[in-house]
Amino acid sequence: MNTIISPDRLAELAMKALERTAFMMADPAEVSSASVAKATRRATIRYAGPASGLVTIRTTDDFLRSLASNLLGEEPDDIDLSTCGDDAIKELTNILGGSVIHELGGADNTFSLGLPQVVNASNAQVAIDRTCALDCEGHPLFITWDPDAVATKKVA
Amino acid sequence: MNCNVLIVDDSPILRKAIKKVVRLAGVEEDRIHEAGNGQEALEILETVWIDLVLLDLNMPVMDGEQFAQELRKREDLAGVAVVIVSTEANKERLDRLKALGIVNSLRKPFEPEDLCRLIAKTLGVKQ
Repeated sequence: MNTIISPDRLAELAMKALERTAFMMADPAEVSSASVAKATRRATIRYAGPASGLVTIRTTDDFLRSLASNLLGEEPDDIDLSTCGDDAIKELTNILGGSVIHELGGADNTFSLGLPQVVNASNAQVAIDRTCALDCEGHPLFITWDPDAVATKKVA
Repeated sequence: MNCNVLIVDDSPILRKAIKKVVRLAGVEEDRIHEAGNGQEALEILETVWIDLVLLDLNMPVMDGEQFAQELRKREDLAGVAVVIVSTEANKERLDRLKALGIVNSLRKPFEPEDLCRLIAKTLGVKQ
């Protein structure tokens, strides 16, 4: 079982998820507190099992519009962010959460995954050393992996 | 393709995306049904014959495993094929689902072609 996921590996997992799920291409970018602060949309997902932790995605409305557009095969201008924005970020968070537990535990893993939650991005503390940044077709995307210190049995 | 497919996923956006793939697999649009959780799926199964269920696992209200357990209790629904389409690949959970006869699964993120092939394979076996 892996115990560490580096930001570079996290970026690879996210690039694969974006390409496979939404046909979106992304490249690694620089992480800074200033750049993360501009990403006002945030969602998290918790996992538990042999180890537990949290995966967080931060991004912008423009990225979510583009993601929803690609997922649905519709023009970006036709996307209603009020209905599709939260759904799009939750689904991407869900997929990345699944990728993280697969990376940690392999194909025969015994992790369980919670449900993705959209959260208020204000007052957010960002662990830069556990965060990767991507430039996804001109839009910023930040993914943070926060392993818990104490393992839990099952996601509530 | 002359069959009814039920997509069970709590994400409306992913249901729409999967629906497009199911259509690409040759299923007519009016034969594709959607449910946001296992409970809604059971209600649809009360009124429409479904040949294939594409089932997410992590859902509120009634999750995919609970739905599968309920489905297998029903003799009239014993012939319904189920394919797991989920981010979670917990071995213990998948083993419990295999014990219920659900052996096909696809882990997100997946290539649309992978889902297309799995739909054709599952329905082909049934036909």
